[in-house]
Amino acid sequence: MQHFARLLDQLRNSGSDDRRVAVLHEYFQQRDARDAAWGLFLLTGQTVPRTVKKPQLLKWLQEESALPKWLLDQSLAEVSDLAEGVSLLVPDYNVDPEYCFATEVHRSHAAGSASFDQPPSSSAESTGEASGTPIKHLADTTQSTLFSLDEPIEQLAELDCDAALHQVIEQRLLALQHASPIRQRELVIRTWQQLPRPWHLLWHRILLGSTIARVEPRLIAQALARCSGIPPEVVAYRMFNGIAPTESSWEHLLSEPNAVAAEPGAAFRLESTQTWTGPIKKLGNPTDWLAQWTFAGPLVQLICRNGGALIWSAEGDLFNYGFPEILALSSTLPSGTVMIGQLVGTLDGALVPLVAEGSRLRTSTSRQFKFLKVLGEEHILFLANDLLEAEGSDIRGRPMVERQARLRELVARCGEGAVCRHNMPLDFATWPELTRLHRGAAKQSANGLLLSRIAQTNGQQRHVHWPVEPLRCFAMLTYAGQELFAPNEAGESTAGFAVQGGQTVAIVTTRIGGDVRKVLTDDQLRRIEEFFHNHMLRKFGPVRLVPPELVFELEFDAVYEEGKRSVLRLSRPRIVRWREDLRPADATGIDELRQLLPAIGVQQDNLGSP
Amino acid sequence: MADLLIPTDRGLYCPAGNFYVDPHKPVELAVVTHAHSDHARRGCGAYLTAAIGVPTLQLRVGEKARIDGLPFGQSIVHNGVRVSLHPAGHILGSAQVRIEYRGEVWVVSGDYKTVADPTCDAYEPVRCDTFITESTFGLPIYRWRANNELVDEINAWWRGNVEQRRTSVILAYSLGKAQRVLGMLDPAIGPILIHPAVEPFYRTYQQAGIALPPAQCVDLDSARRSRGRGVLVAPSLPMDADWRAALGEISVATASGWMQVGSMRKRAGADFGFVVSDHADWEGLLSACRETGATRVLVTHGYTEVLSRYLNEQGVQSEVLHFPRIEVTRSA
Repeated sequence: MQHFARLLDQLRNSGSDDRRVAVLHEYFQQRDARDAAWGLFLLTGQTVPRTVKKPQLLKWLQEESALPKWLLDQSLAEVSDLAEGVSLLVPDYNVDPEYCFATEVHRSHAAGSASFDQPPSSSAESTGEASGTPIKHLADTTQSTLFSLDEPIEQLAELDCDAALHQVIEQRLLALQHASPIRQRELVIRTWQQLPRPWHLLWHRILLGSTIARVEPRLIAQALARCSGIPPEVVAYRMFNGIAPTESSWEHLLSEPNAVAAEPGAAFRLESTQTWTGPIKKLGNPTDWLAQWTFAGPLVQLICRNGGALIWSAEGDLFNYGFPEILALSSTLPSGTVMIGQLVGTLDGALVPLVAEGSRLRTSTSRQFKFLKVLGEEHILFLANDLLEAEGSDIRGRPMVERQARLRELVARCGEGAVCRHNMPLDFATWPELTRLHRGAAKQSANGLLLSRIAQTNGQQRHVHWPVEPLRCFAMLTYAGQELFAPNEAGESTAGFAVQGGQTVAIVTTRIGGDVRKVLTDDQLRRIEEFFHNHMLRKFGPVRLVPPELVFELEFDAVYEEGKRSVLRLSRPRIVRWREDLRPADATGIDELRQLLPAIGVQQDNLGSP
Repeated sequence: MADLLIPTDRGLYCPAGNFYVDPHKPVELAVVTHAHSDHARRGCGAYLTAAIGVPTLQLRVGEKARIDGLPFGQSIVHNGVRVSLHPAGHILGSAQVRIEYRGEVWVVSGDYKTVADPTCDAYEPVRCDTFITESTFGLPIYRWRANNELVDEINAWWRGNVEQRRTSVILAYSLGKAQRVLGMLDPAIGPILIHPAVEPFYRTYQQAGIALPPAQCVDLDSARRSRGRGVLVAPSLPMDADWRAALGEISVATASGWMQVGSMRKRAGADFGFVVSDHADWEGLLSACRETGATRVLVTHGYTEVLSRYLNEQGVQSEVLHFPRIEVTRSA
């Protein structure tokens, strides 16, 4: 348990993904299968169902701590998190502070002598296949492994610093499931008495069914790949199929794949795409290149093999939750098909930008697990750019023209209005012609062009992304958070910007991206803060409202309409600079912005009909 | 018998001796428990404080202020009132004030802690009839860990940051907490920097013979040289772009008793929190009240209602000390 607790601390103190992978690797490398299986189970955000009722737990806590109820209640209210509150209030059972260290020394001298080293005879091996749901599995374990109701409490092994995570969970927590209230009380109190204090919070979190951690599956897959030598995409695919906290599940996860083909979920490694900012003619001969529109939406591989489908993001995350209509393509597309393309959202024929509130794509890219809760109303389309595998064989070596032709044919099989479309290559002969098309990108709701080399070449960059010029406007700052421009996890901060809307001002964005603190100088930030201090009109929680007087130059990708009242919104707004030379009257008008809306109807064409 | 000390708008007043303890406003004679700004105000006619705390108090109330130092345990008689000072274990030179008049004894605890701290004299219980206690952490959720565990935790965090080439920043109150944290740092890990606000008190601690590791007052240059290896102990985070650039990537931890609770850590906005407090925890408060043998406990500063109610339920007569127009500040 101490190793797991230390891992959580290290993850908390890790500043980069590389570091997180390294500490995960170190942890999994050192733990045995049963411990690692539980660790993995908890790290992927899974929980053990709560077995002890809150009022009971609080009753035992009151008895043990001998605190009056009013004091207990007030203390818990102060903490607000129940698991944390209980951990802080469990009394000290005269545990010698040196106990932990003393035990550790003792253990290293007398290894194997303690009863804890012999796990109960029927272990987790007998239960639960990888495919079984964790909860069902837990019930199985309880019946087969754990104590019967009338077993005397004295037979409980000691818990100390060396107690492994699986020992604590299986012998203490799962044992609660079928225990009588009296025995539950004994188990809980004995655990309070025996468990070293530093692990109390972790124990109570698990006991009360709280989520312990939610590490991105991609990072776990990388760490496990490093431990086992199995490709990360294979590990990620197996993890997606379900993780049970058992030795057999763990061993299956890291078993040697027979061949890549035997892993129906394995994705291809994608070639990198370079962002092109220079003059386009430097790419050489225009006829060497194939051009396709790119849109706001994650780049994914759609894999249909053995009657099933998988959606892999370019970063190595599985996107299967939340896109049932895309997965249903597996019934239309032949087995052994792998396509690469983009997921885009549309609403009434118009593209929905990623930033739109409640968009499935928005949540899908960052927080996989929220998929099922935040289902947007938009339709999701898969826009296929290229075909990588056809009829079960890798065709990446085949000529581009042939691949595009086969892709067109495949997509046509899906039928009219299907969720799978071909991202049609654009017709152009010269660079000026393509430049003209590129200029009209915003009207097509596209955010740029993807250029791919037609001919096979060695060593040369094969894919180039030519982004559109960002759009700009002048907007007035109307509100901001308590801490000015403090970015959240997604790098956005609360800030309301408005444009001139005739009689009044119209708010066009409620949050701002980009690194505002880098764009604005310290002096500017200070003066803006001062303005908020002196001119605040109202406060809504942490949001401070000010008169629309400060004008900023904003950059954004597109304009779109949101909600039933078609409120105009900017897509991915960033601050360019504070225009201290401009007055509110100089701010952009709402009608000007409205003209930037993509024309509906044009959409359908460029989204590539089958 | 009338109370030996009464709460007034200027602070705790002793009518028999005509002096104040930790006055909120300038008065003629102030007995000061310690040099934190909510206890030591500028502008008093004369100050009496623990001898070892005089240089620190001088920094706080100004060079020209008249300060008399009284060694711990020695007493003086002022207007027939016997006054002595006893270690409170809060910061260097922090004292409890014992006041004896016509056979009755009162003790004002000031801020105090009962756990060991190598940077100041350990708290000593003083027998009395009436005990005036603080209650900053007067809830049972506040229970401090042993000093050595904190030392391990802080140094492990620092080492982890060095491995990741991040500069460590520990936010700590510039007097007392900063020096206590400095005393915990292992100088073998990397260079130790201190904020200019911490530096004068660092020097008075060293002059008082407290063992502290070598530390340099931070400037842009030393910050740059220590980037990715060093630790900066400061009362607040430097927000200036030049400083941020000099320090490079940082990991910030706050050292405070409030860090005991997760929601407080979040509110403080620190990546990490170390539960290092210079106040008594719940058990510390209760044991202090017990060990004085006081039959009456007056509670101030913090969870006054909670502690007072609990003491009454335990059979100790207790009241909340109400000051007229008191400004309660929570320092940790």
